Amino acid sequence: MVDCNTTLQLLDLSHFRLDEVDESIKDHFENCEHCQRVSHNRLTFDRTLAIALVDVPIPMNLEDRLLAAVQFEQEQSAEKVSPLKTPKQSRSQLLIKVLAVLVPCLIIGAILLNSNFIGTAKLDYQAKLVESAIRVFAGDVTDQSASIFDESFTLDSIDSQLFRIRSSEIFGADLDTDGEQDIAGYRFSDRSVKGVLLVIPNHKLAETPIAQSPSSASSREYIWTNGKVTYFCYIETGSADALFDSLFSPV
Amino acid sequence: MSSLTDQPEQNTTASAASGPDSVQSLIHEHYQSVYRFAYRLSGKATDAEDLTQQAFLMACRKIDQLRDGSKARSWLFTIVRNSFLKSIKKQPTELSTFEDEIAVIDDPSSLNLHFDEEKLQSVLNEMPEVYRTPVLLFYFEDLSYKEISTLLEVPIGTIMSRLARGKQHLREQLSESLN
Repeated sequence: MVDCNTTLQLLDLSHFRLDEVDESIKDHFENCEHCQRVSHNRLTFDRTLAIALVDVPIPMNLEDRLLAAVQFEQEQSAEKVSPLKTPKQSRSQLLIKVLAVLVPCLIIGAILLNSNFIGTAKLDYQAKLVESAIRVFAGDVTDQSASIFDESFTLDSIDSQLFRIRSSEIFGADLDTDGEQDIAGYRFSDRSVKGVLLVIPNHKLAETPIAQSPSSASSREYIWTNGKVTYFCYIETGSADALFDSLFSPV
Repeated sequence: MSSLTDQPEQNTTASAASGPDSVQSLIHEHYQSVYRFAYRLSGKATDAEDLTQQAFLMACRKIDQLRDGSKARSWLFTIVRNSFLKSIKKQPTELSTFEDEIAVIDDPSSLNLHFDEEKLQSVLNEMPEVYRTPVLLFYFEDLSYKEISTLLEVPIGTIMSRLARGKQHLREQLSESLN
């Protein structure tokens, strides 16, 4: 048997929307003057309180001060943009950032080795990649071997949907120590998924993928190429399929 | 309740978050709401102004994370809340004390509809943050339980319970003098 207490509690939970409660609650409400009066009072109270809560005077010139603060922040950020110009950045800070991107190299390098993704002609390079990743992982890294990406090759995915949920700087590394960066990457994350995108120039790879749009290589990996570079997306948490369906499916 | 917000704040679109002046647009459209939310959360004008500034500076750095311009205000409120949480010291006993106080479910015999500003803020300040934030999001944004749950990353059942208790507390405390 529905009583007034139950009716009022459930109506409160549904924000007094009768179409969201059971028929039995609705029946009781429609036949109970007490519940109707209390609900009306509560609803009026809520509306009045909402008005009172937003009735807060705004400080003079607050908008101008905020705009000035943001402009200052943007100017400061612009001065820090230059790649490889990190003399003020401590070695430990750099290492943490580099590790954030390059630790997955260890995993990915192993995957590449095991999947015959790269042909035998570049075996040295593969070995170097894994070796370098291990070196980075162990903390034996110099500013020259891994740093902010120096744009030595073009990241054509820069305007992709994935880039919009980027959560790290773009870092690059010279894994085969030939003087130019040969891998770049960044972390990405949103509420449901996070992972890392790595980009490797095709001329560094003996064999490149055929797919020209993100293609599932496993439940956690997507691989594709634009003919110049190969993209390797590794999902750490969340669903790779869901991410790529939402980001790249035609509308 | 969303109709109670300021007129300039109604037109946020996805483009507002992606244009060249996106943070400036966010400030123009939302600074009043953000300040008011920060004020109600912190209870002090100076803290509210600091939180508002921190929120927009953070928004400036993380603007890429805002993919749906229509959710800009809720996103900014979340930033304000996170900054606020960092700024306060934890009070381990406040939750149980508060929950004991609102164990009685009956409404006051009549509800007050003329709020004294000082009393209103004082009652809000007494509420533990885990109750205060859902209540403010409900009254400021008219968000559903699911939306508040997602925003605060708290189970929906917990949000329902906290919101019900929070609203009950406000009714009792703000109508106390009438009964």
